[in-house]
Amino acid sequence: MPLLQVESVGVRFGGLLALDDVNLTADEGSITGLIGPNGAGKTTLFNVICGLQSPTGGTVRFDDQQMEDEKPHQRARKGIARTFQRLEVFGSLTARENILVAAEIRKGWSKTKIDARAITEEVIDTVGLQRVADQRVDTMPTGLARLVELGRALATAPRMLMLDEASSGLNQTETDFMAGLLRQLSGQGLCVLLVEHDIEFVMSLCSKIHVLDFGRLIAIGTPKEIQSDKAVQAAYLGSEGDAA
Amino acid sequence: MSEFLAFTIIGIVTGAIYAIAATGLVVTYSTSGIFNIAHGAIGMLMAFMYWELRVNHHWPAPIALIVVIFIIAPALGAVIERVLIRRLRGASVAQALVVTVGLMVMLLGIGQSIWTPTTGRQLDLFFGEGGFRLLGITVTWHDLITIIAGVAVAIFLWFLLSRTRIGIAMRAVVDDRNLLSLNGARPDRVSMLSWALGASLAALAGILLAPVLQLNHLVLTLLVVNAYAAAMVGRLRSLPMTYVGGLALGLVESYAIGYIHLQGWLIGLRPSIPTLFLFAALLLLPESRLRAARLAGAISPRVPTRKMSLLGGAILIVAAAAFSRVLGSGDLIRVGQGLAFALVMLSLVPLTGYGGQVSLAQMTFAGLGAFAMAKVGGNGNIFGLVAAGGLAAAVGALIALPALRLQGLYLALSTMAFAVLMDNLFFQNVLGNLGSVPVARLKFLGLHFESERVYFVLLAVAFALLSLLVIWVRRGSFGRKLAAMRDSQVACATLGLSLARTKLMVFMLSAAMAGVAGALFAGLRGAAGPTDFLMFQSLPILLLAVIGGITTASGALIGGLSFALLGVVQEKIPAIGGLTFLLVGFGALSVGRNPNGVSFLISQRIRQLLPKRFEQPVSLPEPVFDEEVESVAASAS
Repeated sequence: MPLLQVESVGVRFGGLLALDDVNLTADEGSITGLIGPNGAGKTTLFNVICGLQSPTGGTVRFDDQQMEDEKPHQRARKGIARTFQRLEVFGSLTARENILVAAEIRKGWSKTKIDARAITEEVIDTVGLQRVADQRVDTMPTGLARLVELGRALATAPRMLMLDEASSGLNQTETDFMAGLLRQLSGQGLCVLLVEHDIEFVMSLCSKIHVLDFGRLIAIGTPKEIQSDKAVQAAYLGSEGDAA
Repeated sequence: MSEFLAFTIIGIVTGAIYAIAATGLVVTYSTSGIFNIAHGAIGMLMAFMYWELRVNHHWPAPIALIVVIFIIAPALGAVIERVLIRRLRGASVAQALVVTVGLMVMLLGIGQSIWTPTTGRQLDLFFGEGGFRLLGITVTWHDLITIIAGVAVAIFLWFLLSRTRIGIAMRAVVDDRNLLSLNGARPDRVSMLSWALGASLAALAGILLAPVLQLNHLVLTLLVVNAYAAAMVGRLRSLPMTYVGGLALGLVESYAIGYIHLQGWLIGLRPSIPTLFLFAALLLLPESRLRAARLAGAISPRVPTRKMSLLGGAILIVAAAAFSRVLGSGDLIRVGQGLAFALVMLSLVPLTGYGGQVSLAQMTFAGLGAFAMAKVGGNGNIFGLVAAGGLAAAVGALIALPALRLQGLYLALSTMAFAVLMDNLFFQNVLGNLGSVPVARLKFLGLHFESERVYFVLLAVAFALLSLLVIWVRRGSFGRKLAAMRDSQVACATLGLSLARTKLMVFMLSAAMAGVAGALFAGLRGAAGPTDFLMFQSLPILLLAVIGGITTASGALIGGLSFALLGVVQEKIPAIGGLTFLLVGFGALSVGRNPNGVSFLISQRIRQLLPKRFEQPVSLPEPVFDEEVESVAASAS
């Protein structure tokens, strides 16, 4: 059974249907992609999954549990972690403190006893922030701040990691590092859900991709299937009529 | 039946005034995102201005009304928007609140300087007591005019917001300011217009209310509490629901006064109805949605090391001991009060400085502490101090609970309403209506802090110890969570942090500290009176704490001592009494530019003056990622 099951989710903002009958599944130990043109509803779907946005219809199940009544912090405690397209780092804290505070928050709700400082150092090593660990995050370039956000999410020991535009603002070296890291994490059993603009990045990483357009799911498949899907091509390139 | 009708008409009349004031509040809040705590103060100032023209200069009422409502008030609103509000774009709720509290205190200062509170003034009802009979009861012309004004404002706003280009732009600026400017409209102008309109509505409400209630600075300034109680029904967004809220509040108040015969201490319940109404509205509000909205990273001061904070505390105690030898008894009390105020301000450091939440009731918590000390610490018993902290924390938790699931603004408004409630209901009854209750000075471990000199040093020791506690909290896990919560609530929630619980804990800590401070303050005075802990005293406490530096203990010390100094100035030169308010208000307005206050500026200056070798080693590594910065910048361009 998939770890995450999104069924018939809809979100309406006034007269705008931001999501319409969307279904999505993601499995443990795999990287699932969610792509689509600007305004397709990708971030809205992320917000629904982590509880920041209530859907107007449909259900979200995580580990076969209904998430409907769970608040964002309760979902986080069940193992859902995320990053943000527009960075949500703790700017007045250092990179180390950002990760430490996440580990300490986890310590507050975790049923097992944990050593927050040891976890922090471990995560800093994993995401490669050793050299800038004591730098305040609001002085960092975007690429490093994204790694801080990723590290912070990892410090909560999630079962599912949702990354919103993980490669945005990253240079090629950083993007390659991020790709390697995500492979490693999913290899360890983590479920990774990726919203991405960088198609190449998605195609090289994901085993399954969902495509959204104007709030509707227009395709699901392997990278190969998605690349040859007519509806996806139309969504990205415009319809034939438009192209002409 | 005729009695019921009479109360209904009174309810509709006051309800119409609340509705007018509340819609003004909603219009400004929804177009600028800034909640104007000074809304009632604008109404107050304009009511006095109307009195000045109408009564003092004998202008005809229609001309005076037109000049005040359509010229002076909108001009004032526009100036406030241009000078203050526009600069607050992207500011935190706490910063914006402090600036409008500063504005409120400043307007109050202006009002009290021009129209001294010691002189009695009166505004008559329109057309005097005359009126007409309706179904057996007399309706005054003033009542009729008020109801017509209420209806006219409703129709005008409906027409403006749905039928005119500028009105539609006003609605659009709420949804997306940037998109609106891309479509050729000018959001700044729209925002300025809404503030001008808001000030006009405040003026109208003030002028209509003053003859019914009282032409009094504080009473009219508190109109804002009634207005936001009504506005809360419309969730600070919907104008029709705000109208419903205003009318409902007016009617509830009128029926309560008419039919519930309150006796004894419950008499204070009557003026507290808007507050109770507000709490009821807060409980019914749905939980607010967390939004991803990161604040622009303000520079926050370094957290002092353990060594530095111990050194600072020791210096303070030694300095206090030295001063206690040279200061006379009167001065010891005055400076001692400064230290006590500094203690109250210190209670705001974890709450506002670290956690980004605002309380407008710190003096109320101090009052609860003083009350507990008076009851439990009869002989200077140390348990009095424990009870002071405990009682304030427990009451603080009760007050905070309904507002915690909502945004920071609601917590601040709840605390203000709670403070007004306590002014009316509690302090007058338990601390003596005119007199005061004795509060003993502390006695423990065989030490008795009876003399002024010793008590003065005790206050310094208490400040040093509580400062160490605050800094210890900041350096620890809870302090990091507070800083994280201030930087991004949405990130904290998605990491599993219960925001409500964290806010509750810091609010209780802050209230407990204020309670202890209040107990020590009352001990210094030897008594606690009903007017020592009023809501209006919490405002300069907050403002001076912010001016001193809300993020540091030293800022609280600067704020507290300045407050005492202002008190001395006021005492020695009563003629400039109102000016001190003006000064405090003006200082708070600078918060928009320097959120870290005077202590931060001083510490920066000292650091510049220190020879390099005395500077602390810079903990930041060299920027080894220069090439990355460049590549990111290149890709962005």
